Amino acid sequence: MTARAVPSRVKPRLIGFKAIFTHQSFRTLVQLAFALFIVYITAVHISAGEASTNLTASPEAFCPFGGLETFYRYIVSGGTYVPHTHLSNLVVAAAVLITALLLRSAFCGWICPLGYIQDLIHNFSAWLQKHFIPYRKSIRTISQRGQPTWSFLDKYLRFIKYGVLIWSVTGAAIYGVMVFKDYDPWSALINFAEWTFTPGLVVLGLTLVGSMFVERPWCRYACPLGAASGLLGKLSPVYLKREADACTSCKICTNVCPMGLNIHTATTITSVDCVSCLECVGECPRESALEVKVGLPFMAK
Amino acid sequence: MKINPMVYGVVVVVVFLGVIFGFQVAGVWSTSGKVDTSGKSIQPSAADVNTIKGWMTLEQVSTVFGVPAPEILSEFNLPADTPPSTALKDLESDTFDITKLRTWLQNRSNP
Repeated sequence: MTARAVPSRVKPRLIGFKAIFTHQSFRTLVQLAFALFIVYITAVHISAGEASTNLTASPEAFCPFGGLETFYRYIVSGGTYVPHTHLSNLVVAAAVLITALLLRSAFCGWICPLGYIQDLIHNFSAWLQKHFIPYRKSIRTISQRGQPTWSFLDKYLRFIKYGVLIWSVTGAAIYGVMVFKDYDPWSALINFAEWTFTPGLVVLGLTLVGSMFVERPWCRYACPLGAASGLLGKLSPVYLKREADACTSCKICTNVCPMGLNIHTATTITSVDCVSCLECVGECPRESALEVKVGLPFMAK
Repeated sequence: MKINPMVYGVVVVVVFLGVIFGFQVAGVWSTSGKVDTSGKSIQPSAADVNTIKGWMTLEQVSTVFGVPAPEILSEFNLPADTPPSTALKDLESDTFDITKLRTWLQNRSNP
């Protein structure tokens, strides 16, 4: 008779400063700081106006995906860009890709303001469910009825982002313009002051409303930057490790994962969809059951 | 090797901002089409259509490339009453964008 592995002990309860300043609260602060930076840049650019003699940066100049779209043109033309992009787009894109190469899709989970907005809306939805019973009942009914279909769709909808990535990058390379711009919810958001209707505005609306029901719908299904970052992140030496012996399979990790990954059944979490938010690590009640590790890429982990 | 999640978060911020600051220190940074990396003002040049930027006005392009503004408007099916002071980026539509204008001006000067 073999002895059954005993789960590790429960994590000690944090008190005082340690209870407040966790990696999760630090992540929220980082996300907030980057979101406020973009709000500031947008406000300064709008208030100065396009014709101003004071040089102000457009928020578009900080979009990393613009860097991916203009990269081909920049190389083949010897230094020119597709309209609406600048050298800063290439630099920020390089920062995102280097971060992915070293630390997986951490940009998505820790920095991206659109990801943060989706997090905020989903948290608001969770708050509403907690305090308003009719809303909670409606969400539960929708979830229960739609669960089988949604589980099936969720698996396949995740491939859309690779199509968007290929279309937008090759489109910009062939036509010399950002073919994705009019459909981009981020572009629609930062250009809201122009009051022009684009399909991107519809995509933004769907993303914001969808965030009430599904966590990070844009990131899961359609974000081309997340697709590029996730694919490059496969080369990263960083990964999440679930120790089966220490785990009680309580499913808390899976339930808190904003990308809907099945963490409680995995051994190593190296999914391209993981945004490295580490919510699962923070919420895991057991010592050493779920940890961030560094190893050699492609080696047995 | 195990990493503390807080340390991981700090490393994410340091790497991301570090790459950007590194490029900035090396002089590889520009957030506007109005200036180059050295801060020198960019002006349209008749010799190079790639100097045309979205912030430039219809009037500027018309003057530098010697093409009457009504001809540009007509070529791209833009309203004839468009003020010459309009920035090119504000004229973007299904029929007009900076790349199309550059190509047209290039072909016009080298038939």
